[in-house]
Amino acid sequence: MTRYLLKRVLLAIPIFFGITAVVYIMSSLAPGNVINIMAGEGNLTREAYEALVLEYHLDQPVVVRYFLWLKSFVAGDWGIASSTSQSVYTMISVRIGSTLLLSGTSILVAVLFALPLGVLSAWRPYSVWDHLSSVITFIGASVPNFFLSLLCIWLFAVQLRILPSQGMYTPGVPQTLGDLASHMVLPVLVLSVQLTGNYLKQTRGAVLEVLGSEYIRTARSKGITEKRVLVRHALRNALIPIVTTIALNVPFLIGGAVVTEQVFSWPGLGSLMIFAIEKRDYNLIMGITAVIALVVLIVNIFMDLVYAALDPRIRRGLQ
Amino acid sequence: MKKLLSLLLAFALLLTVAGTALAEDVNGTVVFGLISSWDNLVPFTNSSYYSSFVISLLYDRLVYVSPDGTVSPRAATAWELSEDGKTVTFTLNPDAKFHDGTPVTAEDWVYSIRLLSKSGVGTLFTDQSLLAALEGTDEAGIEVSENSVAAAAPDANTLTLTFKQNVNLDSFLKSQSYYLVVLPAHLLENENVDEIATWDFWNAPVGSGPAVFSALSADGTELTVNRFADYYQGDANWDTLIVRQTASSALSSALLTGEVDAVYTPVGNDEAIAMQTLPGAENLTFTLTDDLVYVYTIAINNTIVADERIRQAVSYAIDRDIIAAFLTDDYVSPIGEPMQLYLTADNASYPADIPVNKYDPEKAKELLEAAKADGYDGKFVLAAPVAGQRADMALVVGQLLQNVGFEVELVTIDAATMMADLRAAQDGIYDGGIIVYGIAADPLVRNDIYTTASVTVLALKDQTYEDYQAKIAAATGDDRAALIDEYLHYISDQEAAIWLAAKRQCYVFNNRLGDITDSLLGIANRNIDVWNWVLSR
Repeated sequence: MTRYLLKRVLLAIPIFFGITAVVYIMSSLAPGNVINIMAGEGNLTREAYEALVLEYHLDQPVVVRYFLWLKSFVAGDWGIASSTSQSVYTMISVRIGSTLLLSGTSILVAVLFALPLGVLSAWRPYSVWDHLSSVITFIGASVPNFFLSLLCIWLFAVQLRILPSQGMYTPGVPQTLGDLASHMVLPVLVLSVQLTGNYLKQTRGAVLEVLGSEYIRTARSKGITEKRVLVRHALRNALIPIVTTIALNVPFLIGGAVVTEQVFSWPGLGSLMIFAIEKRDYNLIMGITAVIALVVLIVNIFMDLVYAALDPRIRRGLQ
Repeated sequence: MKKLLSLLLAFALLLTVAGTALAEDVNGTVVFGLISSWDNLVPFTNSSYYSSFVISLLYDRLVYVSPDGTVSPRAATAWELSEDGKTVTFTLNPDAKFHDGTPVTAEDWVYSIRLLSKSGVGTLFTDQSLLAALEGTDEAGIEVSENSVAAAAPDANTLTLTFKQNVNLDSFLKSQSYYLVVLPAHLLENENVDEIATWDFWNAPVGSGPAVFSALSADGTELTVNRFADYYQGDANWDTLIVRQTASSALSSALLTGEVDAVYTPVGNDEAIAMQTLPGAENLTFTLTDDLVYVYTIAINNTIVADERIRQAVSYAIDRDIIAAFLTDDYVSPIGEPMQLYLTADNASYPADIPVNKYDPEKAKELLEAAKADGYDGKFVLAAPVAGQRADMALVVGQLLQNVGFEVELVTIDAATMMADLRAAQDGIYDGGIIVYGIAADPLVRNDIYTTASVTVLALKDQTYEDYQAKIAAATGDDRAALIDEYLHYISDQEAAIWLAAKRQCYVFNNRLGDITDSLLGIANRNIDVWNWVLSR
């Protein structure tokens, strides 16, 4: 097991370099550069422009610039954000918490709704629960986040005036858990609707498949209660594809809840990424990319361990 | 399961009510939404209006520039140009104080200007390049020797600036003085300039502006400032101003729900009309601005079409009336020259005789044919943002260009990338891009001119513009007015611009702020007079 884990970690290292290299080169290929953005509306003399080109190594080939960045990154220096003159590490570390809070809560809410509803709809196909499940899956899969966000703001914030639509806290008042919770409701609702649809589909399909298995029939014929059959036998065996889906969503939510964070002015990594791209702030783009890549790789390794914990056959294979 | 769900819902409702109840007692607090981030709290980067907005709150500037271009005192109560036209003497307000209570002196101003001129500062903060106009600096704005920048303090309340060339005082005050701010020398003079970006001072800066720094949220998206009670002007009565980033897509809802009291940028007029039908609109003031807000122009960006005949052919090919009509409403109207919108007592001589619509397809064809005869292939790559008004406009412009014989290729791209690309002066990507920007009430400060001195969105270089500017700066009275007139005619003749006065923008703010339309318009001049904001509580 330890050997397997070590092998996965070693394999993750070149993957990490590959991801960061591709992102660095692609972001450098985008038209314009950090100096054009810094210059604003043309208030930079040509001499100052050329000095900045040298300062940011823009006279060097992109590959050289990538290795310069990598060298600093590996040495623990994430660099200074050209857009704000602040440490990239600091900027990311203060934002990652709010992103994790938003994405973690959204996943939790989605799992809490999707698992029982998915099991119910698989257990009783074509029932009310199943139809409800289909509607939620349809909405989650087909309604864009942006539209759903605006719809929620219009309904809950503008018309009903029961929920705030912006930021993490109400400005000008002491920050409380209640205030935070009220600000979380709408973005969490939007994100979790999308996730719930996805998880429902997976749970229903996986449980339905397991319920048709012979060992379930055997379990029922032994007189085990239906609840026990569902939870202990069916759900547990259906968990691997469900866990895989959840795991795949973790990095997506950390880096990918961009639209939701933007619409709700949620100060997380997604909105920081947009800011970094707009400003062509390569250090910041790379810092965020590196964090997301690391999360993806760690989650993948962690999921392998979870599979082993869930499925004795995998565990035996590893041993 | 039912019990669990009920409990969860009840808990969420409780938290919501608790949160909402707490949000109500913020009477003296004004929340201002900015759609984009400011860079940082260092006053030496005014790359965007958002950065300038924040800087203008915390730090003091020499003058205030009103939306109509009127210059009024701020830290400087009077200003005078020397006989040789190179030295400006500012009389400073003796009542000005830093937020720690220390009086502001001319020495503080000199210290601040010298700090900005130090080597290395410019690689972090781009405003340094603006010092290049001052004596004692090199072409990048860096001091040529220790403290050589020509800023002096003859006495505690007098600041002098000496320029390399004759300076146009009006132009300098309106458009170029915004980057000069005063910092407290007594708090900073022992700091290491090489580490300026990491000074602790920027985490809680002490300025002498109308607002005192209170807090910056850890994520940098929310700045809280308090009114500076000792600020020397205005009768403001607000207590706290919170500047927070607000998504542009959520400006309307944030205003309607009262989560923000005012926003920048303004909302579109159509959006404002829709807002007025929604709950919460009764608390808001809607002001459709009458002044010029933005102009649209084709930024010629390729030396392939540097030939003035091609630029003129583009200009003659475009029917401004069709463009205005195509943009669907009464809020857009063509104008001949932007300065015509600033016909005030100050600049009554600016050209009124430039035609509003230069549409002349026959002339365009003639010019284009002549250029083609000399080797131009007629191809014109026109860039525009992916969606929105400019994308629509690009279709019409493209068609009009094709009508006179251009072979047009339309490229749509996101607006930020297009602007960055145009600014990068990369020859060969686009021949032109449809850009939009506000314009200052100063004929000498124009983003639409082809300059050799600075990097702008226009890649062509034309020394004539700078020659005109130098001559205008050196002239006075009627001679100056005549030169400006000639200069503006030259610009109009040479550029492929579509000047449209767009009255499409609506400033929306909470009624309790009174009428702050002029304040909000002032942001385009990189300042905001929050010292005049009087809340009705």
